[in-house]
Amino acid sequence: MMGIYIMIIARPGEIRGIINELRKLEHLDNIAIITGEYDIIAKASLDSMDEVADLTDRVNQIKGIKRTHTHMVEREISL
Amino acid sequence: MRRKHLFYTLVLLSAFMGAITTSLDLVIVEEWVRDPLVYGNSLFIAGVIVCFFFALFLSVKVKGKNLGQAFDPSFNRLRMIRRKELKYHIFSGLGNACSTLAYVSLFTFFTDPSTVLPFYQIVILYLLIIESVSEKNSPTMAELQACITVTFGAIMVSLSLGEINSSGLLIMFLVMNPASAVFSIYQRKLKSLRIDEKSNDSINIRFWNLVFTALFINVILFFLAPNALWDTVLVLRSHFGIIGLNMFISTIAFILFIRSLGMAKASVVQAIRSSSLVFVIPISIALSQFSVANPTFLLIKIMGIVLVVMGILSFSLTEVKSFLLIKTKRGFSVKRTMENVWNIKGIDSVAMVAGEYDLVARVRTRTLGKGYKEIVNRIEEIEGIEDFSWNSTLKEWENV
Repeated sequence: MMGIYIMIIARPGEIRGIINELRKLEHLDNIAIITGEYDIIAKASLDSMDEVADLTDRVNQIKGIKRTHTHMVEREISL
Repeated sequence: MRRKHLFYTLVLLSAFMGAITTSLDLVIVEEWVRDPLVYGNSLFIAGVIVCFFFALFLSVKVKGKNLGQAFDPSFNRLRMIRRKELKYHIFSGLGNACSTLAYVSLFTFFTDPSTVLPFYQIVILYLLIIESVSEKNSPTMAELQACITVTFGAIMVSLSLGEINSSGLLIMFLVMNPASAVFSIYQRKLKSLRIDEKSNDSINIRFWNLVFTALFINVILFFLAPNALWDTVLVLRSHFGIIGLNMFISTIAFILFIRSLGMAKASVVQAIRSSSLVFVIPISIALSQFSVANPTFLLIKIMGIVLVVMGILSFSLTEVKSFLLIKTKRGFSVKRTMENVWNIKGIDSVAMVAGEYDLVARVRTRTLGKGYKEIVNRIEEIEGIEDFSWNSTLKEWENV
């Protein structure tokens, strides 16, 4: 199991549409609209690098996204 | 479905069903089964049987999907208990057994459901105390205030015609609620385990909890009141129908409850569940065990309900979540920095990531002010951090 964080910068006025598209994708655990440098942060859990590639590929096809940054989780501590 | 709506729906449904079962419990003890301990034992034995068949039924696959997924999407089929679950099941079974026996023995003192049910709500105080120890999350003023409101409201609702029953109150404060807090916490731990790469499903958790609870109740009764064991068999033979129905409703209530536990801190779930008080009043009027003749007590009860509802609202409306994106300094161990971040109160999870940032931390606080005081100050003290940005969450969706 590997985790990734996808941070998304949206074009103005497109956040709503991007969220709707993201919610259709599989493997996403959590999507949040945030303030600050990025507009949206999404967390996903996947089984292989192949799936990571598929997911980022599909995210990149969503209209209205200006830029994405994908962060691979190396180690995680949570409650 | 939006996480928030799903969460409230689950908890309220479960609260409503809880109100029905408490009323049924009292009627059954009043009318058919005189000995509360026997009743408590027969409940769980009937529960194991009913839940077993219910879970088997839910395991039936229709068009590749099983029926249980309507209740909990992560349910696959009834399965054997896993080794890593065993410890948690033992604790939560023991907690449930003790609190059930205490609960049924309360029936000797109180006979009105709107008096007994509120007593379970006081568990929220114990949960807050335990959470502040175990989840490194100290309660804020707002949480404390909400808890006190809920508790006092519950006590007001429970007042009946001028009498305060001290042995009843002792059982409630010293046995029933601590045991039920233990039960809630271990149920939550079970729900957050991962089984076969999926989150643990509430249907199996409930079934195995019933098995362990029935086991512990029988062990306890064997030492306390061995006669009750044989009486249980007799009671089950004559009244299996109604007891089974009662357990069926409460099983569904618990499946919904366990599922909602996976979504929030135990004390928050409990707070919202306290709203079962609102449902129990009409039911207890319907059973005409409510002293309508005395308007003063009716008024006090209504005031109690208002307090409970206000407490619940102030609980659910105050939570701020944020993401901290952190860049670490070269020459410092990222692992050490990560542990330092993790040790700050209010940090929900930390992930070491490869990419533009080095750490992503999720923060959960009651107010932004508290977030600043307790988190930003502490972050700034950590040596290995070069730079960080605080990103408040405006809206959130979660896959549950």
